[in-house]
Amino acid sequence: MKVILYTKDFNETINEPVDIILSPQYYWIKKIDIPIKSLKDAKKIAKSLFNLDETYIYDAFELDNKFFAYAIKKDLKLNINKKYINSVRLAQTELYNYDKINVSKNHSIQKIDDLLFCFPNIENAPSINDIISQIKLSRHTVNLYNRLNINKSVVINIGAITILINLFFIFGYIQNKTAIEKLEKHKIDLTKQYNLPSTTFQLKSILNSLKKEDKKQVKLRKNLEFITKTPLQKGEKFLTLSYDKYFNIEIKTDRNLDKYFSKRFKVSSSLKNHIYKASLYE
Amino acid sequence: MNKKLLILTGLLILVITINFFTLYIKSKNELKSEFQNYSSFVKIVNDIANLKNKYSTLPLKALKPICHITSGKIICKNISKSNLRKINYFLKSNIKIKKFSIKSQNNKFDFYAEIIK
Repeated sequence: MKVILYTKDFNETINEPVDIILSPQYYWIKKIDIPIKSLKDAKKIAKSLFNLDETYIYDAFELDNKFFAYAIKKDLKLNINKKYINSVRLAQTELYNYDKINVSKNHSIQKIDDLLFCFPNIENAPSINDIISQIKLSRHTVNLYNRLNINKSVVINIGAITILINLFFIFGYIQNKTAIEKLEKHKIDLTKQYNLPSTTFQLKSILNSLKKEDKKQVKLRKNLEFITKTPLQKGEKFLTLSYDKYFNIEIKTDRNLDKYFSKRFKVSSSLKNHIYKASLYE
Repeated sequence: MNKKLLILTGLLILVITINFFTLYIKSKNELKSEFQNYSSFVKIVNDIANLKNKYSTLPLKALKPICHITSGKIICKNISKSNLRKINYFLKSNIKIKKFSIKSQNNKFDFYAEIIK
């Protein structure tokens, strides 16, 4: 990929992806002299090293075991279409190994006390055109366009809320699953306690059979009560009372009792020799 | 902040949240359905238990002194009118009766019954 040094004198038309090295004209840079342990600490103090406003991006990098902080305009406009910009880098990181380079007809870059600055053109310095094709790009890039201007604390708060919501869902899921397991266990315990089959279908079948049986028994007793309340007169009495699917009765009487029994049953009767015989069907 | 990284992380978190939300709702519906099943199951079991407990063979004890009882068959011969009251209670009691007959002869009664155990 083509590498270009972008200076104030840059006037090429770019129609292909390029890696851009920014001239020191486009950023502020400082060497961090105070003792710090890590790059993380350097990044933290980067902003405080410059007396600039919020329109700048502040960052730091480590080079040759030294820490450097830089500030660069957030809305830095380059005369290159964004779709052709593969990466943006600083001259400080990419040209650090050179003490002086002529970068255009009017300007040169020179290293003073580990920092690269722009100066007027000088003699006896190599030209950037001879060097740029040999430059091995560093891993330090400036994240100029791929940025969101969101307050870190907002992101942290949203993250924390999302985590809490997820925890709520996970906790709720576990709680629901535990409750389902408990219900299933209780069902098993109930079937064991009453010695019943486990499926609802089998249970319903048993229940229907029991209900049918119960209905039959209740009806039997009501019918029996009706029969035993037969209004008998003096000298009249039951000789036989039997039940096997239907009732059979024999009553010593001269009367036909069909009228009474037909209130509740279908009656098939006879009255012979002072005996009233009847079969009572439902 | 790195825009791409933030958007990707946001999308990832969103996908994870949707996934957990789906799992939660699914388990909630599952619990609801399971609870309905459980309620209907308990109701059936209780109904079965109640119907089973409604009937017993205890009333047979009252007939033991006056009847011959073998494997669900009860035979009582020449029962006096006073003992007929016991038969009457027996028939009204919570025992499952399959069939029965009472015959009267010279102020004595014969009783036969079959019960469902």
